[in-house]
Amino acid sequence: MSRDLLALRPVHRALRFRPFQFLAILPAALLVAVVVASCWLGVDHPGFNFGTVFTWVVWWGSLLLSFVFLGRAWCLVCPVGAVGEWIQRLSFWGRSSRTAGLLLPWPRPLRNLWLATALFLAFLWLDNGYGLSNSPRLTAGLIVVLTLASAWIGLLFERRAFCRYLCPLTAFIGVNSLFSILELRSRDAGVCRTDCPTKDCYRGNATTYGCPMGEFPGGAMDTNLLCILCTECVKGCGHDNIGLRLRPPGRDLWAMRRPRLDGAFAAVTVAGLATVAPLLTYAWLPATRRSLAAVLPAGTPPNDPPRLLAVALLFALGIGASAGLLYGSSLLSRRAAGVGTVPARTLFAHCAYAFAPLGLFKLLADLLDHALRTWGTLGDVTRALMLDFPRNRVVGGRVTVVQLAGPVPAYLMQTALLLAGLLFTLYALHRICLRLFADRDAALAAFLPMAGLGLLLTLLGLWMLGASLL
Amino acid sequence: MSPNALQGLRRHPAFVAAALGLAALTALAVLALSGKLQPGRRQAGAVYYVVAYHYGFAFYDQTFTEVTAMEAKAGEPVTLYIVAAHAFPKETVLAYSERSLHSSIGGLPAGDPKIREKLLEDFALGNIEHIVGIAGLPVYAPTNVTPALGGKPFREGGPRTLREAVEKSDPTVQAITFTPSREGAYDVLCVDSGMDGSGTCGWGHKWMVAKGGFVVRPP
Repeated sequence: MSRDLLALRPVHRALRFRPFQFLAILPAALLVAVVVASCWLGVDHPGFNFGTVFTWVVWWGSLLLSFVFLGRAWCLVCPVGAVGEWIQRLSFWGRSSRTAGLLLPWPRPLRNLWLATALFLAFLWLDNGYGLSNSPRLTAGLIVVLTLASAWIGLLFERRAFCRYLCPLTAFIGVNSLFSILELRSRDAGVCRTDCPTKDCYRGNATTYGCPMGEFPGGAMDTNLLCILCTECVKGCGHDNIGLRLRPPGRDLWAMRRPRLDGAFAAVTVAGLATVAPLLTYAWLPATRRSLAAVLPAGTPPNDPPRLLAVALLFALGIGASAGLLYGSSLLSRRAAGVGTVPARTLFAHCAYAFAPLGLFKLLADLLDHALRTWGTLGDVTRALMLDFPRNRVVGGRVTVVQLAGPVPAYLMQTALLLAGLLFTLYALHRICLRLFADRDAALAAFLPMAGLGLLLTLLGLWMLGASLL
Repeated sequence: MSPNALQGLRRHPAFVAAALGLAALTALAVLALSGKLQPGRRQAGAVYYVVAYHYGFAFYDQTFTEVTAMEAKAGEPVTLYIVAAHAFPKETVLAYSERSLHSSIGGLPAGDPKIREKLLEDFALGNIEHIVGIAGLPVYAPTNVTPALGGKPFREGGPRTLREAVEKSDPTVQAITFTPSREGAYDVLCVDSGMDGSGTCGWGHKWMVAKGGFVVRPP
């Protein structure tokens, strides 16, 4: 049940057009430039600054939605990652014979998602502890720092090492994109194995580059985890053997052949950060801060060391508890299945990914509430930006407050989203268990503890959403 | 640097050029992010003083004479010195607030004693800061009087008058310079502190608007 969009001639021609990615990046780059100018020079108020409203409401919301429909499509147009690539290639789109990069291989011990997951946590800590999304200047600073990091890494290391191993969002985007209804894969793996000695999609050729993410679309790449949809392989494949297919949502979650522990931990982190960590910060942040204030010098937020440390501790506890709950469920599943063939570690690595939809739909539910309440602000800040483009120093006036739905209808919609996330998680868990256990009864027994964890996390999410109503 | 390393770099002139360019950009970014690279401020032309009180504004010209509206010419720089009424002693704060009793606020008719109750309630809750903005102009200035109060409801030992506050460069006085370019009458208002329209100075915040409080004349 899939449809290959590359079979459509206009799509095929567009994606094989050499400057395609550059043309896709260009508007995003211009928009990011306006955002940085607005954040850096504009009104230092998150609700009146176009840059902060656009980044943390429009971009963040679009990013979450894009996971469902387009996978890692943001990475296709992301100008931050592109800067490193342009410097390395000394070209915006064509295959260049020269390079400014040293093309060093990325250190072997760091070829995983551990560092990216740690940086994602640091990014969230900056937001929750330091109020990143509430500060136009910090938002501009973040974009500038990431762009410079991408440029330096592109200059020193081969391919898009920054996007694959360092970008604070790569693990988050990758894990959530497993749910996408879009995938880019080889059409016939046999052709890649037997008829293609050059493997141009991976190595590149005289006119195209190899996969910037170091993936082999014709071989090992069986998920969206690292595919940034740059379409370099579409252009490079001499056998026209790459397809861009629509598929049922979430297929990667159970079809993944070799789930890695670093990716599994990233998936647990995403699910835990959407469910367990907010609960802990909601319940214990004031008390933890008070306790820490007895031993640390207190300050005015955001420069308040006890609060910053309290957020870090509660986040660590939230992630630890999520991983612990999943590992505990893996042990229970193993025991319930009654067969010693599947180790708990394997169950953990496979099932962790299945919890990604739960986290994603919880984040979408959070976003829905935000969008229903604050979308009027976007019009206000855009008008203000136009009055003083691109410096955005102008206050537009009173905030336009338009509640698109009351608290109860909003909560019902959020509940529906959370339940949809739970259903996808349960379905993925069921398919994974069926694949791991030959016996259907053992698969069902192994499924139940995992399903219980899914239900528990959903109930926590529902309670958290309801608590904000009170 | 060893001779081998130097030789290696000579083989990569594009790398050296790109690295130098990036190093310069990185240095600029570090300076900017650490606050050492600020855009230069233009000298002020017209000068006005704005006292933000619950729930209104008082405007004063350069001679500290109260005016009904501030006026400037298009293209001429203007400097506003902005201060919250709570920077002054209790009696001054209450005197400013009395002005609000003569207006209809929050659906209550002018003179309704409930307005005073609500005012005092806001003071008790510590809702004493304002964000002064002019709609359509680059003016956005949060007041900063809380540290000067030292946890007390009203300030003690501070300046007694606006002139004294300005002359002594009291830390509660914020300055903002801008150049209006379009003629017209602009509203001075207390800006909402949240994206959902929530207020910063409390109950009467929504009514804290001086209609046409800033007028830009032709050059």
